[in-house]
Amino acid sequence: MKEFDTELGISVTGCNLWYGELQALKNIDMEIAEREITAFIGPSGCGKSTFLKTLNRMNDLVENCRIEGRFIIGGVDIYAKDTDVNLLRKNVGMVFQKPNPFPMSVYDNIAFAPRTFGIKKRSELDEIVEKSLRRASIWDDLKDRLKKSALGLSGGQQQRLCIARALAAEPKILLMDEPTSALDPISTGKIEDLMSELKTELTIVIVTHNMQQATRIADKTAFFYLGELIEYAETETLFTTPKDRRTENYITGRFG
Amino acid sequence: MKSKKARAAVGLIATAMAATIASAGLVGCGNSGFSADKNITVVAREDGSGTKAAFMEIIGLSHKDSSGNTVPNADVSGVIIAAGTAAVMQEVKDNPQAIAYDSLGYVTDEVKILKIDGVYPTVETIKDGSYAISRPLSIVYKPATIESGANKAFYEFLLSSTAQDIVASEGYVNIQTSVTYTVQPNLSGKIDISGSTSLQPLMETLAAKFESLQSGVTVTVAGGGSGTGLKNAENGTSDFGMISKEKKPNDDAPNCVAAEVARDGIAVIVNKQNPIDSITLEQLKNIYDRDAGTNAIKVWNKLIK
Amino acid sequence: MTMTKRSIYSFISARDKVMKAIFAFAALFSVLALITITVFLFAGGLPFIFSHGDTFWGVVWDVHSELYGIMSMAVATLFVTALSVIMGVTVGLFTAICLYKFCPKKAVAPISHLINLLAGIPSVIYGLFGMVVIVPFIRDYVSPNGVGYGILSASIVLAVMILPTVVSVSLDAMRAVPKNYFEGALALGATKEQATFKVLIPSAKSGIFAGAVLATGRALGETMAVIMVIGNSPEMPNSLFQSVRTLTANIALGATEMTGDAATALIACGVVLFVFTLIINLTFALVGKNGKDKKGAVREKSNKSKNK
Repeated sequence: MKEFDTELGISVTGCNLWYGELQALKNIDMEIAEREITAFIGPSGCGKSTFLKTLNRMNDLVENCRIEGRFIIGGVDIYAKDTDVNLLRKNVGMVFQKPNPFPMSVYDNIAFAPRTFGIKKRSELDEIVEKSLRRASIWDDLKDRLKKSALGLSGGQQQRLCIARALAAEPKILLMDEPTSALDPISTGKIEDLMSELKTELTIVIVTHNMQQATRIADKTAFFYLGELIEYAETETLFTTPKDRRTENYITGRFG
Repeated sequence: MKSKKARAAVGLIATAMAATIASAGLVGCGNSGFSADKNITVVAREDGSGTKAAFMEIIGLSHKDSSGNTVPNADVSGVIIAAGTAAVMQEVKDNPQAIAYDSLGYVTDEVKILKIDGVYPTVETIKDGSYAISRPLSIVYKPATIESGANKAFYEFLLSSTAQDIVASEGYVNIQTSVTYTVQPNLSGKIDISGSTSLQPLMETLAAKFESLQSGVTVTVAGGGSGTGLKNAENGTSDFGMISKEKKPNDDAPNCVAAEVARDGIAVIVNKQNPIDSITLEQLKNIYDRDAGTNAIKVWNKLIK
Repeated sequence: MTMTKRSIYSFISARDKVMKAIFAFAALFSVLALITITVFLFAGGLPFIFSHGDTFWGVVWDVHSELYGIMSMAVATLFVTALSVIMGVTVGLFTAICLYKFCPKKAVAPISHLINLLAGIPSVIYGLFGMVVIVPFIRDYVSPNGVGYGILSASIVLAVMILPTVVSVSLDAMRAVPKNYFEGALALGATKEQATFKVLIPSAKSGIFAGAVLATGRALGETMAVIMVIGNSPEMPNSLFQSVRTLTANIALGATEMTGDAATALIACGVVLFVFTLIINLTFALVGKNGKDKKGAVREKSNKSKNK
């Protein structure tokens, strides 16, 4: 399997996806630029989360899920036979809608990914934990609570911890599936600031329900509807001069 | 990649299961055979067994307890205690290294019976006393029990030639008598018997015969062991208790008396693969004696040249 | 009219009272049963333990020499129980993991039904299985001294007996672990095995431990199957291939035959066993409580974050 090239973005052509008989994604072609924030918007069930999950093959876990198309990430065909899914997921990290810290200490949460890749030396792990927490702007909050259970943190802290945990795997791309939908406005603001900082090093793809969030942080925005990619453009363009009627209806709040 | 591992894991489990089943099948078919250099597996019965009490007393491994009764010594170290005659037979049949004692009436040709001091147990050798290990099989009852009714009739039946012919045909040693049982018309009632599992099968056969002669009478026969037989006869739970050892004055049934209905040899048995044919009382003692010290016989090659 | 109404109401309230009395009696009955057993055991056994203290805690059990030492049997009981729990929990946990994550979905239901079927088999059948299959196998292929009956055989039989408990309790514990823990681990690049052993199992550990404790209780109390395969010689265990006797086996072997002091000694054995069981149950209660607290806390937290 080829190494991921960090200078290349994501390129998807002819993506079709079925859950059993139901087609959830229809003929999606999309280029996602590196070191930018790309937002996926659209009403519930439009396929935006499903599409996001094809990018690190989390749909593999779903039974009866069938995927077609070419997915090239960092120059690598991620559905090729010789692809190491674990290595793919190390390079394409993911943050979920609901914060899901493991029921263990803050430290062990962050050290989880490095440990699975075989790093055992304490000093090395210490370094990774601190660096990851710093990158997630939560080091100052948590540096005295590294040995405490991660379940004792607030929702916003838990989500930033999950981001730090994902960063500890040193991904090139970070997929975020409605990362702030379970959080209060202040925590949401912190995470948005964090994303803007991270995009200097990472490609970020975020699924969001919140159109304001997309306008605040995303460079490009894609609108999904009924499993199709309706419109994909610079965020400003999409929100000010949408080309498609359905996009316009959605962003003006006529449905969704 | 990982699904391959998972499949391998499932495969491994399946293989392990198959291997277990296959080896279980092998065990069922045969075993690894007798070896004189291996330990003797000494099989005994639980405390309270009449067979055990009689056997241990005869081979000289008994002592008097604080109330003056003769009781067996503690079992030899490493003994396998089989709860019941059937368990004893099962073990000796399967285990080439085993030695055990069991009621002669129970022993089948699936195991080998040893000569004791050169004498093979038969009705004749038990009757004339040349076979050393035999014991009485008796019923115990309160004297008042057999004064009238169905109990009296059953008592008379047991000691008649009608019953004693069955005793002989079942392989036990019978009592010589020429009095046949006279069927009594209009006799009815219930008779309850419990106790020694050594006497139980014979008693069941005798009871069935009695019921066929006296259709108005029901006889129930239960096990429980000699100790239970004594207790039940004493407290009236059963009309008759069955014991497979000598009745002692200070036992659990001081108000009861005993009547011998048959004699039973205790056979010393080994697995059929074992080449040994004969054993002495002295050797038996050194196998079963906990305190035999340097005389202890632990391995078959001490007995087989 | 009013008369009828009132009489209907009084009838209903009378019926209520009767039902209440029946419920109360039923509840009382089980409490009474427990009290009766406890009183019977302790009133019968404790005086004996105190009067025979010196020999009772000794290692020699020889009824005919009036020595009623239970120590070798108590040690054997703990030994056999521990060994069976180690084997049973290992195999059971792996089975549960297999059912939860690794085996084809279609096979899960039949396999778990089959395993639950194991729980319904009478213990005497396990004993028979042990006698006819395990004991000869150990004797002919494993044991160095040609003895099949003993600690190892008994532990294997017990391990099989406790499997259903371990499998069903740990499977439930794993199913109670939020799915997103497992997904989260995979999303970090962990393999399925790593996600299982480093996240799923640690998250379910209190439930799994509770299952192990329940299984320990069952193994400790099992009697019939043990008598049939353990050899029953009342000796201190010092080898896996040695005939020993557990406390339960001792009671069952002697119960119908013993009288006098020996019978009282058996009740005293019962006291010791009762205390063992009590300890197990208390452990279970404590573990159960802890597990619940933790889970409750997690749920509350996630609710809170949702509400915000």
